Amino acid sequence: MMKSRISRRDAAKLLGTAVLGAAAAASAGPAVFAAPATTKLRIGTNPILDSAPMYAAIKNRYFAAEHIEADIVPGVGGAVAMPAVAAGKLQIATSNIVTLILAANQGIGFKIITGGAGVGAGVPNEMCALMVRKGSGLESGASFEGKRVAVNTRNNINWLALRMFVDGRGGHSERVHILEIPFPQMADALLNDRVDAATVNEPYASAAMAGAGGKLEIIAWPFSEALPNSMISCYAAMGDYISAHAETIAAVSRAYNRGIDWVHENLRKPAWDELVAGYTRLPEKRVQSLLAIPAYTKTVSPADLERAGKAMERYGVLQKMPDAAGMIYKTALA
Amino acid sequence: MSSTDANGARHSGRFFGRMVRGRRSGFLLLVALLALWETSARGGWVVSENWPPVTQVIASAAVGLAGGEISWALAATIYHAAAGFVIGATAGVLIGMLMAVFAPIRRTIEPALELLRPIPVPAIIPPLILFLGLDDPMKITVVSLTVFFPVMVNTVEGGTSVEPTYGAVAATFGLPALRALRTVLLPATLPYVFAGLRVSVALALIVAVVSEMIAGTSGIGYFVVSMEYAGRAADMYAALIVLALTGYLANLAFGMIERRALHWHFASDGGARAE
Repeated sequence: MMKSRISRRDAAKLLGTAVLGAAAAASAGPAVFAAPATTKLRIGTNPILDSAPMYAAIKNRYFAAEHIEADIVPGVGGAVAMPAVAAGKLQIATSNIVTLILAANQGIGFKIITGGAGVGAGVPNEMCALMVRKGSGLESGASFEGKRVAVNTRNNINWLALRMFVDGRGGHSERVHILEIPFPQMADALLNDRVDAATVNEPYASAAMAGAGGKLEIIAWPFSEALPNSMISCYAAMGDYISAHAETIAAVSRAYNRGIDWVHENLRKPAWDELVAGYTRLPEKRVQSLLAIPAYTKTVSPADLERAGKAMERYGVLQKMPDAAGMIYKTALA
Repeated sequence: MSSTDANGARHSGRFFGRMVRGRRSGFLLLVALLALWETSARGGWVVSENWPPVTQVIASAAVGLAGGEISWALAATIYHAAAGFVIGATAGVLIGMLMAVFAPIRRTIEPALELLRPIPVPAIIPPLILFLGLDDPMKITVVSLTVFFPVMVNTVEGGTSVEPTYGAVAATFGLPALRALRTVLLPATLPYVFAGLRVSVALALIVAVVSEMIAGTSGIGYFVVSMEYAGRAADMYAALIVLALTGYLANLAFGMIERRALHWHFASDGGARAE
């Protein structure tokens, strides 16, 4: 067999052709060697336990891996963030299911695009403790009638869960005097007899128990009693935006779900403590002593929304529950 | 209360009288209040995680300022307040002067302005979020709107209160209208304008903080809410104290600027100022 040999002249021609070809391709605009474009997103979220998967996804560069530059806008969720999403100032924001149902009922086209934080069947996967002064005797639904109970926001998720809890234990929730008090001030209000009970979310529940000198006790966890195994807060975007940017939304969902996986792998470990302490600005000791942590899930069930919606109808904050499945985009649908 | 010594002097009475009449009385009151705070926290009069001793608060303030946490937040608030103040004050003076000089303009826009004036700032923030988002433009706009009204009202008041003699003298000397406006009317209105500006300095800071608390991503207002929800009460109060000091210094600085700008007014008026 004859050996084929390439002459030096031919090799030089081949090499020159390759170099010229590469240069032409590189200068051909968004072509062969161009890096994928990065999408910039503004995401509104609250620096609370619910948001751990989102912050984990950002810290571990899961969004960057999806070519997304996520600009977190902290301190804005729900009632402040959703108008900003509707106006296009934010692309995605966190909200609890009550706010989302109310928005859907008003025809504002939000769709849930990711799972989020919820509750399981009880502690440790919980978010909200019903706290009273020790020895108060409050336990049955009827015992709360005529009493003053603190929630952070009326006509929203804590208020709803409290009413469902009282009615579920045989009481009449319309006879409970429900007051609005911010979470950090609830322990003081209880200790100073300004209220008889309070729905205290973590991390304020564990802080209150640690700092109250044994004068307070947790008698129930109303979220899991009223809405067991339910989603409570998740991320949503406008339907128009989703339709126009379906690939981006899919990428967000992938990155966020990796954040949930990271949270599950690192829960209660030093990496988790560091992450949560960092974005909540809580002292690490407070993070380590949490009594309950939300259940983080990747999907939202229409049944969760329907159950909350029916309760909202019963308590007069909603005229008619909108189509629950229609509120959930495919990336979050169970 | 007094006692007399061998010389018959009422020492303690004079001493107390001097303290009350002098500037030190304000400082001493502050010290007494801070001592009360410290005692109530350390002595267990108030048992709460949200009531740290004042020494702890001062230490947090020092750490926060030196480390940058409070410094950067304060810088953001000062930026929001200052930018909004400049825009609102400029608009207030311009529109106020137009309304003072041209009665048809005043008649046309005054009803709308009077309707808008009483609306409280927290109420306008949600609609502003829709149009301006959550960032600096929204906060600066809120501050501008708040500063605009007192400056505009005082400018109109000043412009319509100028002594008619001034206008007559300007006409006698044949001054062109624009020059008369610049050299006669505007200086005569300045005491009123500065009265409006003085009120607005404090308002600008307050409203900047409120907007940061409601829809914040930066600034002292956002920092205060963050520290409240992080259970870091000492840091929260530290930020409030730093804010109070900032407001005090801003007021002092404004007073100095006012005295320089209106030196002729203070000299001729014996220190009395337009309100």
